[in-house]
Amino acid sequence: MADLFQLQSPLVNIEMGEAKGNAPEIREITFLGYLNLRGKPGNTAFLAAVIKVLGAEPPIEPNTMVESGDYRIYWLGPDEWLVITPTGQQGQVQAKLLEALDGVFSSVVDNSSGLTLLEINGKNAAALIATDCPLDLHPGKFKPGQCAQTRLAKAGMTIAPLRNGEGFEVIIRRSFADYLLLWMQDAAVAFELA
Amino acid sequence: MLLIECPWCGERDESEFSYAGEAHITRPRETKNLSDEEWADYLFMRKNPRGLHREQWLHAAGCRRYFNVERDTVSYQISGSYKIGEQPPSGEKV
Ligand SMILES: [Zn+2]
Repeated sequence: MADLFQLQSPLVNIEMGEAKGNAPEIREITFLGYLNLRGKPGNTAFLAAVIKVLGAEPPIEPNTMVESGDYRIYWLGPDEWLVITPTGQQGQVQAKLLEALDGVFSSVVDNSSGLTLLEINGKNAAALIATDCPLDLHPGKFKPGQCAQTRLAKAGMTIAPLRNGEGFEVIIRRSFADYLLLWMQDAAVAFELA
Repeated sequence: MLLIECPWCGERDESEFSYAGEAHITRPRETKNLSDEEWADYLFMRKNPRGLHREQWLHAAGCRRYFNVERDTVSYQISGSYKIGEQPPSGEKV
């Protein structure tokens, strides 16, 4: 499906620029596949189907994520997960999941055109996000392997610490991307001078 | 600002939640057999106590699940959160 359309970043009209001073670097990871997966974690048929297609069980522990090959599975709720696939693979992964889950109480919805991902990298990444985010981002409380849904500048986001220990990936609605990037660039000014 | 414990996500800031009214109100089964008074009682009448109150909250910006909170309406002290269908932490039967 995706090749029928000209894919365009929601941020084409904003100049990303280089990070200045001690401001963290912000970049968009474009056009990943996003599937919303729902099912009962106590249902062994559901778990078996997900393992068959994605190679891993969806994380049962709240606010954690797992990586399995090219896929990442984020906990969104006690019966809901976000599956991120490489660009363009969402259609076939969705089809495989739907096939494996045939007859199992579940749903797989392609949300790829609704979301995008920003990486905020650098030693002030947490401080920049904390400008308007109520989550405790301290590395002792929020470590790689964890994820959380919360607010960033009044917009909803799913956030996870990067493996490098000083950055975050932030999954946001595509329609909020320009607002949030402009907000971040504004908040970054405080770190540019230092 | 309240710090509210979601039964799944743990303690989060109040701004992630929205309030969803008094808890433990069961929709009557045979609604067509109810008198106007009974129907109005289900729809509109709430306890509004001074003191311990069991109420529903939605973790709107988080996991988007409803759950119950037991909160003192005078001190705003929250004695605990519990999932829908469970009993409140005070042990008081509802
Ligand atoms: Zn929650």
